[in-house]
Amino acid sequence: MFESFLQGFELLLRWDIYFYISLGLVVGMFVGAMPGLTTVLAMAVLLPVSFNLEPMLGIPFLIGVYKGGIYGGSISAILVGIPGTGASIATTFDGPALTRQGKARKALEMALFSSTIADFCSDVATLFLIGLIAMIILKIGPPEVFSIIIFSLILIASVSSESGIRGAIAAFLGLGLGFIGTDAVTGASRMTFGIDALSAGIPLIPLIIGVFALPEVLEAVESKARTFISESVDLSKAGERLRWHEFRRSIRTILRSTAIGTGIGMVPGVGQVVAAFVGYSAAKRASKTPENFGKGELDGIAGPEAANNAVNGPTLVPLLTLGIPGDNVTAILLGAFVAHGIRPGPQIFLEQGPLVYALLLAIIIANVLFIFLGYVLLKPFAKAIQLKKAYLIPAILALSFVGTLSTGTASDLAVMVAIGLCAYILRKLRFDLAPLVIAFVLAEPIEYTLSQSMLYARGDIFEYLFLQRPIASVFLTAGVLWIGWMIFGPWIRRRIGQQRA
Amino acid sequence: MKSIRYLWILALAAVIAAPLPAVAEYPDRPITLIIPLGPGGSHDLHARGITGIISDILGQPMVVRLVPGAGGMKGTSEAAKAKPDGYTILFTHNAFDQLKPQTVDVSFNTLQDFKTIARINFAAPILVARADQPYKTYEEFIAYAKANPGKVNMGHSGVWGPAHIPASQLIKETGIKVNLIPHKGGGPALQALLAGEDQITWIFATQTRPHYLDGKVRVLAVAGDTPLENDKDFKDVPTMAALGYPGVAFTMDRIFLAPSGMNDADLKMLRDSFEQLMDHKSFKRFIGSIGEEVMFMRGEEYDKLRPGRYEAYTDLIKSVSGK
Repeated sequence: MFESFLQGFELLLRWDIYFYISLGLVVGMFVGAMPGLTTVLAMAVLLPVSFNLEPMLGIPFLIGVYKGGIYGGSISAILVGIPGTGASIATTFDGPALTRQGKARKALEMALFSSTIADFCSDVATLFLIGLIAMIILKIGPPEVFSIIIFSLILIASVSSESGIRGAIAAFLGLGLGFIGTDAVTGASRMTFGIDALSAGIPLIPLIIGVFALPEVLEAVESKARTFISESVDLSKAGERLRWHEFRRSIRTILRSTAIGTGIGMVPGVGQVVAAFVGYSAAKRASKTPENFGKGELDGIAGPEAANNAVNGPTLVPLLTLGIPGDNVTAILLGAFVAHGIRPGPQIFLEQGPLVYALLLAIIIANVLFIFLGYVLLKPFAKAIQLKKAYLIPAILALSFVGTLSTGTASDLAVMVAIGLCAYILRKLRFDLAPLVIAFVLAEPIEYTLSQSMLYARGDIFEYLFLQRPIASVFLTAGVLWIGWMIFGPWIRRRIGQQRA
Repeated sequence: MKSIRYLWILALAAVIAAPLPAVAEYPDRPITLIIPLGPGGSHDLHARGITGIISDILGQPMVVRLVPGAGGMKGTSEAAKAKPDGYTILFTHNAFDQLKPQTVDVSFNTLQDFKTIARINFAAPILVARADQPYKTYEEFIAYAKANPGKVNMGHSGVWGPAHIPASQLIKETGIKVNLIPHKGGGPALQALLAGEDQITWIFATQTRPHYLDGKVRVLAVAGDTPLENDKDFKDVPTMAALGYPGVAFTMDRIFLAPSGMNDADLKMLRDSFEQLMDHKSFKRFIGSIGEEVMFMRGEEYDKLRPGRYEAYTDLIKSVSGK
């Protein structure tokens, strides 16, 4: 193993690898920052480019696009409150608030540092623990995925600042929206109300834009046009950099979220979104000033950004060790491998050891490159926000429409506008829509893994989950205890206090 | 008054513009290739290779448009509704073409609304079992499943997908009872097999190979009637037809379809172009490097097979839903 590791190191001693990684990072960052354009699609379009490059150049190039794209999604989440992907929804809680306070650049830099540091650590852990991670991944079947999602949802809900009832209503609305379309288990269409546009369900991008961007625009139109036009962000401060003492306060959060993300990265399919929310919730719980979260707290950027990027390392493990892609991104990477005649799987470390180690090392180095590139490239993005709101908001609206249309169909635009109007009304009724979106994203995995678990159980689902699947039962029991503590905890603490007195 | 003037301008524009397409030879602009599947799958991969090469033959680029959703029916119905001018074509497989439209409400009639341009190849699902199971051959598996009804977990990649169809055909032909477990795609189904959640499944040769060589799985049979002759690892695997079950016939045909109503000359031009593609050196190299084979059939030939297969699936669907 050590020998192929060293040989892999030698493969990295050429400058063009770093050129292609950087190119990928920059392209990805711009694509990701455009609302409505997705990183996955950019990777699919650029896949043929990698066919014509040798594997040591083409695959790091695609990985660069991916890493850059995930970060690009956070840029639009911070600056204009539109998450580019599901992974950066949690970043919209504090990002736009920081931008309004004139701390856009600080927030962008915090996101950059926390994501690259977390990604770096998780990639290093993956490199050294790849065998162990591969073993754990095989232990996580449908019942475990189901239990972990439920446990995460309980954690997320327990630190939500909103009123419980409103949050629950929003979450159930999201679940309902998520069930529209095709029943993934039986293939039957359901809840489409005979509308053709809904037959495939509501796509994520129009939903995100509908929920996050359109109400923003409508509210701007509603507020008095005159005050609105003169209103603009505080130009003098938007470009101010992140200070060392501000960063130092978030180091604990970054490390915690890195651990959370690396752990959740082993859960197939749902990794990034769940990790980001759990990372945010954990940061808020551990914070000395939880009341600042949602109002512009730098720790609220570091929490989700570190967590969703720490997922990246472990998601590569099933691809490399089993040849199984866990999501669209790794499926495209598999295509890039396969087109060069490399079939990832149990033998890859014997057959292509040096190459695999070289690729893993290149991925780690990509993070370091990105810190420098991102640091330089952030300035124009932070500048863009200094446009007057009167120009910025129509520009966002136009971009959203073009973005949605470029990846979807005309009917997606109708869906987007309808969702936007409903979201506007819900916001007027003081509903927080983040639970709606996360429930929407998780509706299908929850339903699917539960149906699978019921088939495996061949009867009593509770007996199966709690007695036959130890990992699942640990998470479910912990979730139940957590709910119990949330309800009875304050009461118990008060009783103990009384007895002492 | 004003609107009449605009009409005049429009009419004038139409007169100037109209003769242009008639003069230019098809294709004179990029062709959109709809794929009713998500990014990263084997269709996407094939298409990324093909579109880069076929533009040499057509003289125009071919642009991939992924339209996943509704079990493939979203993209398929978009292609069915497209203008039959040859600028929108579909890259799909036979389950989406001949089976799936029979199971849900769709706004098109697949046999009437599509003509085949070409079948480029097909992939046969292989019946793969964990190596720790007591059965070593196909016959032993059937005997075991009959002795232990409902005990075996047979995974598949999703309802009416390329693993569920041969599984249903096998159940229909042999009368065995197994616990069918759906997964979200072939990857998760394979992972469930390797993790020991499922004991047996149907997967393609390319995905099976590394785990077969690793000694983790056994291959029992291959669906259809064509042995994998050119495959050094699987050339001796018995076909379902040779085992006496020709009804377990599903192979995933990768096909290019065009909406019906295209003018004959243009359709012939497309069919010829795909035939030329099969001999193109870069195409052969690409197909070889992704571990597939070229198994070309002209569109006219494939169109003759479609109605018969459509009816066979009607029976299969009845037998599955009848239980």
